This record gives sequence, C-alpha cells and structure tokens, in this order.
Amino acid sequence: MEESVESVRVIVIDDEEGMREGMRRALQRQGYGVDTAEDGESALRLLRENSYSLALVDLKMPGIDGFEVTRFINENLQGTVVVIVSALATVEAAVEVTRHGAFDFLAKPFTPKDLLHVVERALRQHSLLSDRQQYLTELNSERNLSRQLINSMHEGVIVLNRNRLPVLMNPTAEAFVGKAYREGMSVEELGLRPEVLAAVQEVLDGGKARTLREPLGQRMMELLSLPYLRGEEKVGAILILNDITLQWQADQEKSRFIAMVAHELKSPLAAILNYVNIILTGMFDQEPAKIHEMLARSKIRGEALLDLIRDLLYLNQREAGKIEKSPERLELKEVLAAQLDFFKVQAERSRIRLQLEAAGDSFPVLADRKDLDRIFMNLISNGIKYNREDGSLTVRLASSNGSVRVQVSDTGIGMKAEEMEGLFQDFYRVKNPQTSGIPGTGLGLATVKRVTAECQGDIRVDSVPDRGTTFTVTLPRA
Amino acid sequence: MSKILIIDDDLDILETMGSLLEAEGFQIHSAETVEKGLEMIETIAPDLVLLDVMFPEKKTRGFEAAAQIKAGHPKLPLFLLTAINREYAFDFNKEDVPAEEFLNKPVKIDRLVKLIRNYI
Repeated sequence: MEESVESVRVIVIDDEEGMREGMRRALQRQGYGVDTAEDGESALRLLRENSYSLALVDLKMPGIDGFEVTRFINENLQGTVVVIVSALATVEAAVEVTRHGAFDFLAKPFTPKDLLHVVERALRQHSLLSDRQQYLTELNSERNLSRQLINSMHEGVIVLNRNRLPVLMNPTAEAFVGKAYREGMSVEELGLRPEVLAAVQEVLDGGKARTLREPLGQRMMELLSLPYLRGEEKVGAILILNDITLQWQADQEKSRFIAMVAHELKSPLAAILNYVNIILTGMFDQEPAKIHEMLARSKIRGEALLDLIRDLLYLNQREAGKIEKSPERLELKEVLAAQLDFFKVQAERSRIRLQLEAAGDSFPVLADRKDLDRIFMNLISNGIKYNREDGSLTVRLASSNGSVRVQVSDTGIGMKAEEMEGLFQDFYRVKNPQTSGIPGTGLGLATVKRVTAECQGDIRVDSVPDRGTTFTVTLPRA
Repeated sequence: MSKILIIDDDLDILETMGSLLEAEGFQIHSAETVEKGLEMIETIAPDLVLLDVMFPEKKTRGFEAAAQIKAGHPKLPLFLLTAINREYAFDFNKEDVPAEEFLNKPVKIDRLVKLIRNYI
C-alpha cells in the first residue's frame, strides 16, 4: 500500500536547533508534513496527540533520551517507524538501537540526500507494517466473527480432532451434553450414544457426512457428522447437534393419537361385522326377535361410529386452525336456555326434567358462540344420557368475583373416584354394565376441556355414584 | 367340548364372538374385565384364551394381563386381539408379550377358527 507523500507525517526530535530545522526543511521540500520537538518530553506529548509514519530521533538528549522515546513508540505506537539519528556512529550503537526497536540508524553528519534515502527506506517499511497490521486486524476480526457465530448458534457444535479428542464445543453443545469444554477431555465424557461415535469414526475414516436421530440425556437430537477439512486435508470431524425434542414428542403424541383413533374406529366396526356375520350364518333364523336386537345394536354402534368421525373431523379442523373464532359479548343465560330448548324432545323421551336456575339477571361473557354451544351441548347431552328415568338435569348460573360459573348437574349414575381419573382424556369412557348401552365417542369431554381452556375458562367435575354428576364451568365475566 | 374364554371390555364383541364361536362348536365363557378373566381362568380352566389389549383403565392392560396369565399357565394358548395398528404400537415389543397369536380387529371368524383349531 503506497502512501502519497502528502499524507506522510514525520516528527523530528532533536535538541540541536540547527539540526532540527535542517531536517525539517529538507523533508518539507519533498512534501512531507513535519513536526519538530526539542526534547523527549515535548516529543512524547506530540506523539500522543498526533499520528506519525516516521520518527527521526536524536539519541543524546537531556532528560528523556532517544532510547526512551524509541521504547515508548515501540510499546504504544505500532504504526510509527523509528530512525535513530546520532553522532555515535558505531556498529555497536547501531545494534543497540535496533535492539530497542529502531528500524534504522542515520549517522551525523549526513547530507540531505542521505537523510532522504533513509527516510524513504523507513517509509517503505512503514507501508509494509500498516499492510500487515490491516491484514492481522481483518484476520482477527474474521476469527472473532466465526467464533461469535458459532457461540450464538442454536445448534450445538462439537469439533473433534483426528484422534477423536474434542477441541471445540460451543455453549449450546455444552448445555446439551451437560458438561463444560475442557482441554484434553475425552469424547466418552460427552455421553454420546455409540451410534454417534460410530458415525464420527466413519467420517474420520473417510466416510460421508451422516445424519442420525439419537437421544442425548433427556433430549432427542438430530446429529450431523461432517469431516473437518483444512484445505483438502481432513483434520477431524464436526458434529452438529439439533434439539428436536419438542418435535419428536409431538410426533409421538400424534402416533399415539392415531393408534387410539384406529382402535376406536375399528372396535364398533368389528362389533357390527360380527352381528352381520351371525345373522348371515342363519343360526338365529328362527328367532326374529334376536335378529332384530342384533340389528338394533349394530345401528347403535354405527351411529356412534358416525359421531366419532364427526368429532374427529371437528378436532382436525380445530387443530388446522380452520375454525374461525369470532368472540362476541354473549348473555350466557340466553345461550343456555337455547341449548336446553334444543334438548327438550330428547329429554322428554327419557322422561328427564330440564331446569335452568340463575342467581342474577345478567351473565355476560366474551366468547365465540360456537365454542359455548360445543361446551354446553356436550355437558347437557351427557347429563341426559347418563341420567336415570324420571331424573332431572339442572343448569345453575352464578357470578363470583369477575367470573361466571355454570353448573350442569344430573341425577344419574355418577362415577367412582377411580372412574373419574382420565375423564378429560381423548377416548376415555367410563365402562361398566350401566354405561355399556350408552353410545359415546370418548372425545366429548376432552373437547369440552380444550374449548373451555381456549375460552380462558376452567372445568371441574364432582360426582357421587348412583346420585349424579356435576360439571362446573367457570368463564371470565365480560 | 373345548372351552374358550374371551376377555374383552366391549360387550358387543363378547356377545357376537361368543355366538360365532359357539356355532363352531366351542363352549364359550366371557369376562368384560381383566380381573374377572384372571379369576375365570382358575375356575373354569379354559383350553384357550382370547384377550383384548385395550381396556379403559389402561391402554395396554392386555399386555400386562398376558404376562400374568402366562406366569401361572405357561402352556395355555393365548390369542391377543388388538385394534391398534402394528405401526402405531404402544411402548411394547411383540417379542416381549407372551402370546401365541396376535389378531387385528375386526377379526375374520373363519381365520380365527382355523387358528384356534391349530391349538385345540
């Protein structure tokens, strides 16, 4: 990097005025910018305040001498080249000043030509120095950048050398393995699965990059093993660790759900097919009542199957976000009255009395109408299905500090404590001789719980066997 | 007459499977809970047991029951009935469950009868 003469500033430090001025004039004629100092103290002041490419330093000065100025420059100002100017023109002196960090030595007396020759040579050195400085700075900042990038990565990074010793771990990797990086630690300490170590070895032996899915501690990881190359040469292996625990859990959850769905869809179908098979065998041809009974059972199971498919499709739409919500200020009393009205015929058929009791005039909530219908339709329907003949179903409304409470109570079969466990889980159904004839999908209450939570509400159940069950839904008052 | 015990919480399955197998000449006993089934194995001494996997109290209750049955009666032929798809099986290995046959619901009666005749 060539510097133009105009940008070059030189400082001349000499206690002899004639010498000082002579050098200044010679240099200024060449276009250099020149400052002068008559002693070490003022020289240091100028050096601190300004930036010079070159310092011409007289060795022998009272107070702070040339050696000290040279040392100061070397320690503090790496961009400034020092040339010593002295009458002590010996080889020893030259060696001595170079040892102190000077670049060159100019013996007094000298001609202007000698001076310019030395100055030009020194400036070439300065130019080299600043190139190198720049290069080092850039290199350093690049290293810093890579380091920062690696350290801020969401993925864990482990670098292993050819001997499979860890040489670098970023903080994410340290968190994953639960151990801080320590020089000389072994790969075994990282708690990686044998399959992972094998993949690393494969890469070290010249194999291809590989992706694995393995547990690491409590987490599920996706690991990528890559060769660590310097140029063409393989110097180790790089392991990238990606935490996929949440995704994996969701996958597991989904598999489980699908397994349950398969079971719940096939069970009624199996029952229906069995009934049909029995009828087809003709073994009950002489008993029309028995055949009628089997057909009736098939119909019930078929209807339940259809309900289940409807519920599943509804759940699917919900999860896909396809059900748009439009919350509005609704009067819960009206919503419940409409729901009870809807169930009137069904209740009359089972001789169940429906009643609505409200402790107050107004129970406003902010919710989507379809959500409220879904919650209370399920609860009222259950209250009728699991009731006894000539029983009753009572919906009670009350307000309490900032919330609205709805209780749906039936006078039905009730549940034992152990039967209530898992009541709000998908596909849970209380099975006992009393419930065996009652159709249900096992998704109703699970859906009610989900929807209630989405409405910022809460649901609770209390039950006494053979006395009845009460569901209590609490919603924020609008 | 060979005695078959069916343990399944689905009463329709109990009834229909029972009828179909009775028509094939087997004597059928049924239990709608695992507990009742385990008890009946001792009292009626069946020649073969058909056991459902999923029960309301626990999704894999049948697998545990299989181990319980085989512990006391290692020679008693045991068929597991499941409506779970193999690929979505719960946390179990088929190898770990001591049963002679695994049947997927809905079970084809002809096939079931053929399999049963291999054992009794």
